[in-house]
Amino acid sequence: MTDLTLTLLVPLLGAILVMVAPWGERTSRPIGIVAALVSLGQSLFIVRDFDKSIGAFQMAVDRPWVPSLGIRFHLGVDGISLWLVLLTTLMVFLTLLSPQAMGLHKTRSREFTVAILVLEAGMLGTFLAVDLFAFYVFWELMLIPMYFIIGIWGGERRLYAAIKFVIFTLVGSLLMLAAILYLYAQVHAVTGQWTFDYATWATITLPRGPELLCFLAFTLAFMIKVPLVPLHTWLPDAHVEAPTGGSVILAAVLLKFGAYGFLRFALPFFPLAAQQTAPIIAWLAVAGIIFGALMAWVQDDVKKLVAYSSVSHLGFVVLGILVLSQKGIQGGIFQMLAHGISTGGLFLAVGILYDRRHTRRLSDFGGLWKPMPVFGACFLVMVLASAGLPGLCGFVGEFLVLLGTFTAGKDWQASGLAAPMFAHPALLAGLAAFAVILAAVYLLTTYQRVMFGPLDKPENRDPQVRDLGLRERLVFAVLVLTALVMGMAPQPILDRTAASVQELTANYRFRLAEARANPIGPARRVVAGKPSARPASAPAGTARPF
Amino acid sequence: MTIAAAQIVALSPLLMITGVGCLALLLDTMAKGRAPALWLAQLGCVAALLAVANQWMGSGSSQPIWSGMLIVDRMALFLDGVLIIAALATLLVAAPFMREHEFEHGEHYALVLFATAGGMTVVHATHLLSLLIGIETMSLAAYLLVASWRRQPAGAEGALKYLLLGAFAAGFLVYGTALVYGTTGGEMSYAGIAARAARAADNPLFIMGAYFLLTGMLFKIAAVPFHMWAPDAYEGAPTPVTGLMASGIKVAAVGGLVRLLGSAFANPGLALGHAGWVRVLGGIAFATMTWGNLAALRQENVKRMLAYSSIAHAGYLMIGLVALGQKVDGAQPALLVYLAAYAATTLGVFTVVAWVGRRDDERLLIRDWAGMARTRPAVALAMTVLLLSLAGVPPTGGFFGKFYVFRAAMQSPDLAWLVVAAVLNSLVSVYYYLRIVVAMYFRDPVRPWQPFPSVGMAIVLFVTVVVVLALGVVPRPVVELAAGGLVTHW
Amino acid sequence: MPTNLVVFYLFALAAVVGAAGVPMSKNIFWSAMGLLSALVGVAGLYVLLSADFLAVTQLLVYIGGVLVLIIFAVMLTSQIKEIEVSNQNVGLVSGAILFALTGTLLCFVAIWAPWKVVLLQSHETTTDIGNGLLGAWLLPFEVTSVVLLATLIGAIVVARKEIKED
Repeated sequence: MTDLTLTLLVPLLGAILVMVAPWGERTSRPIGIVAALVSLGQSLFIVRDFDKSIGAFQMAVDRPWVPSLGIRFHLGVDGISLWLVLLTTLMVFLTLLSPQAMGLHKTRSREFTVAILVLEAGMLGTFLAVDLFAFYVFWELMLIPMYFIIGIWGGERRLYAAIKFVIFTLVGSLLMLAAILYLYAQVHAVTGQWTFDYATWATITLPRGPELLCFLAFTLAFMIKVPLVPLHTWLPDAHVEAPTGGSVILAAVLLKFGAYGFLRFALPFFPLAAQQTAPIIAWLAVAGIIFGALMAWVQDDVKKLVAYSSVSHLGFVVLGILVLSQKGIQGGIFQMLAHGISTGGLFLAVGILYDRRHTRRLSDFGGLWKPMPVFGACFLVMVLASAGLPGLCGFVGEFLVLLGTFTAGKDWQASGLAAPMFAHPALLAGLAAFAVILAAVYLLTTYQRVMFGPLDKPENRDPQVRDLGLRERLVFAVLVLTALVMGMAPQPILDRTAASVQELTANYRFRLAEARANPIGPARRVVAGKPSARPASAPAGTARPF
Repeated sequence: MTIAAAQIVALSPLLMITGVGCLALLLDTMAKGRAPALWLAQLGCVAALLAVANQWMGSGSSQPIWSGMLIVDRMALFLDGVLIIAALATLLVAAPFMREHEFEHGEHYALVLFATAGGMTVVHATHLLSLLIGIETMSLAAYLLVASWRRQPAGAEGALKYLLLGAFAAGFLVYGTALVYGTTGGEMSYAGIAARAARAADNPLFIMGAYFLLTGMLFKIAAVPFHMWAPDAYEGAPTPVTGLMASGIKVAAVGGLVRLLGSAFANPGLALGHAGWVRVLGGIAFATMTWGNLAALRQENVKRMLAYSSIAHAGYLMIGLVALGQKVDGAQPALLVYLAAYAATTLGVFTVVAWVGRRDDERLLIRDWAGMARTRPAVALAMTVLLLSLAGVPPTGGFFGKFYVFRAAMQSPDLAWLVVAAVLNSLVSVYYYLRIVVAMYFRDPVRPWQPFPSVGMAIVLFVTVVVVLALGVVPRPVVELAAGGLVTHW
Repeated sequence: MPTNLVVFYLFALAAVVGAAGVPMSKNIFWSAMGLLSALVGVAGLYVLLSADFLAVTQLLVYIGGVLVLIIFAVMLTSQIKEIEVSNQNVGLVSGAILFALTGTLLCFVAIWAPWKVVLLQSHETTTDIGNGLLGAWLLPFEVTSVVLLATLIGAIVVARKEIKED
């Protein structure tokens, strides 16, 4: 049996060990790698022990924390968080293993390792938390290490990028805190007990006005994290200035919290508000997909290019979730994982290029296949995975999302409610599909300009431009293999997310119907299967369109 | 009047602190060097802490003693504990600080204890007279502590401003007491005022008196617009004294306010329409936190920045007071937990500030702190944790305290706006707290930093960081302690 | 107008004008004289309120002790020429605004307030005060001694020369 507390403790203990280890800087990285490897092993055990037939939280750890305030140390894993946990531990391990993690900085590796491990604990805790208080604590715990990673080991404008990252993230999360506090008081008012329990919160329907405000507060926090256009402006700065390791973690894991939080909290807590605002958010997502792709196309800085492509790819995730059907959400989750692998790999590749050549300008490269063939092959797999080539990981997620969007109307007919995608799901899907082509264009062009062509610049012939070392090969081997397996055999992953997603959508539709049936009403508790305090009088089929 | 032994025992912590203060004075004149007086004062604090613990165990008395002057209940004992620990920390930090800056004198230790005794009187007071005398004891000792660093020209200025405005505040308190006394038919005990308040509330003189009392107390916690003295006094004072002012003295003043508003004016509808002082205090809370945070943004001097931050924290604390007035669930323990977390954090922060400076080189500007993470990683890490606690970032005590207070306020729909405002204020505060972190971690060292060796400072810093983290990670014991200290309505 | 009312207004006038004179006069000696007037006025009010002990204490302690000391200090520390500019008024405008606001408020409150007129039985208060200080009010009385002690030490700390450690 696996203990989720241990999963959280290992990185923290590793961080403490690194901090107090008397041998100085040299041993800090190996200790960190061992700690990360142990957590990776633990998350593999979690995947092994996971029962795919259960939609609810499994392997729960539930201990009182502050009983008089209803705060519990409640962890659990379900189909939505399962693979994200694995992704987190894998990417942290690869980051620590990669020699370029700190960028060009070679000093203060002890602090770097500590920051990464604390960050890992925060990320795992955020994915595993079932108690809202614990969730918020872990959510904020991620902020400071990332701030240090950008601020200490970053590039020229690192101070600006770091503070921008903190301020953007905090604006969202502090408003979310206010909403959490409000909900907390409302839950108490309705149920008579102080609790942060996720399951209880997901049964509370707020009055309309406060529901919309709270939804906006939550959504703002998550949309900044994703990030959704026009809240994305912090991301290119953060990515460009962050050291390679920071960029990898940021892209592979941190950005997922936006979509994850939206799926986990914003939808189940505020179904009606989510339904009402879905069209706007969906258009923003599609705008982000296209805008990100176009911006990526015109970049000369490779890192910025990857950052914008990341904005574009995460738009798919949001779009998939907003379809609110089994296919869409599962596709969104798969796209999160695929993006983590492929974009993480791309940032690593850019980091290696920067390490060899000390430049990130596309025009400075060319013909690098000759000195770096192994790198070229690995880079190619990552580029193709990111572009969504069938057989690699990127394809499955994008395909499912597009399919879900196209068929949104049909998926929703069964429930008798109008689909959240309002009138033009096909138009949205079409626009998004267009961006897939754009992605292929700019990614392949980039690859071509870096790797092929004549090896005419003297800097590129420098002996410093060498092929992958042993550790780098190891890192890329894992990534390439993962991308292939995910692309060839996505079914095991999809299988394990199915039950939880089904439960989520079923609960969502049930509560949406109830909320529609009782448009005016105080905060109340609505439990599926049991008669609610104010039973839904109107049949589901008569729901008004909005 | 006969004095029962039980009454003396009930006051044993207060008597110990006062007595040890006097003894330390005597010992200082007789013994060689400053060390004996210091040790005596520290031992006295430890003994008083034990006495507080003893009272806590046996405390069933929620009845005022000494002719209704004082009460020894759990809330008072909780705050006693915080005050004594603050005094102990101040003593530990002040000794090496004064040695380094060469103005050591034994009276300093006695004054710290007298200020603490005054603060303890304030949190025990259930009578306007004992409140007034407690405030005066505390403040007078504080004025003198501020002025005690004679070589520092800012010290005299700060002390003078503090003294003048403090005297002004005392005037408000006395005037308010007189008006309340007159209009309630000769009542000065909180219970008596509460009993007569409903009838007296029709009398504008009574309302005036209540507001004068409130004004006097708001001076003491440095709420806007009565905060003008704070930055100068904080900057001019010897840094350990600044720590004491920001922690112990503020804690005592807020404790006194909790009692005054929670019992004497427990009926909030006594002025200005239904909401009464609740609405007024809500507005002042908003002004205080916003002004404090905005002004702190502009500071280049760490001590002044922390002074404004302390003003902002008074604003957050007042949200708890307003919630207390709305009679929501758990406002009082929330305030106590916040006070404990805030006091621990502030003491730690000012310990670092005191440690950074050397003789004739106080290094108070933010840019002087550049690169501290390289030269002293442990101190920089500790400072970062403490600053994050001030900013209210989890998992620190500062976050938990804020969360607890906001939870109390959120229960009243009237106060939701205040919570949102406070949360946005935290965002502003993050910016300036991080400026110090930026200097310590992201910038290269400009001048080498050689802190003077000091076991006392190291102990205080270590303990405060541990306490701050413990309050954030395992807050349960303190929450339960604070909940055990509910004011019993008599 | 009854005699005691006339006397009351006279004393009140002395107190208010004297108090205003303290900060407003340019010459610190006149400030001290203003303080004298204020203290005497208040002592007179005490007498009118039948607070005989308090009135005598006020005269003895404040006028006989504190004020004489202040005047000595003024005479001894300053040269006569400097006295003229010894008191610089700052913040007159803001002070005046604040005064006007508070003063108006207080006047309104005083007019609104339902004053209750009680005829005072004049009797000797010394015994009552003595008993009170050692009975019901013992605790504040004792704590006051801490205030005085702290002030005493503080005065020494602030006033003495910097100690040079050997």
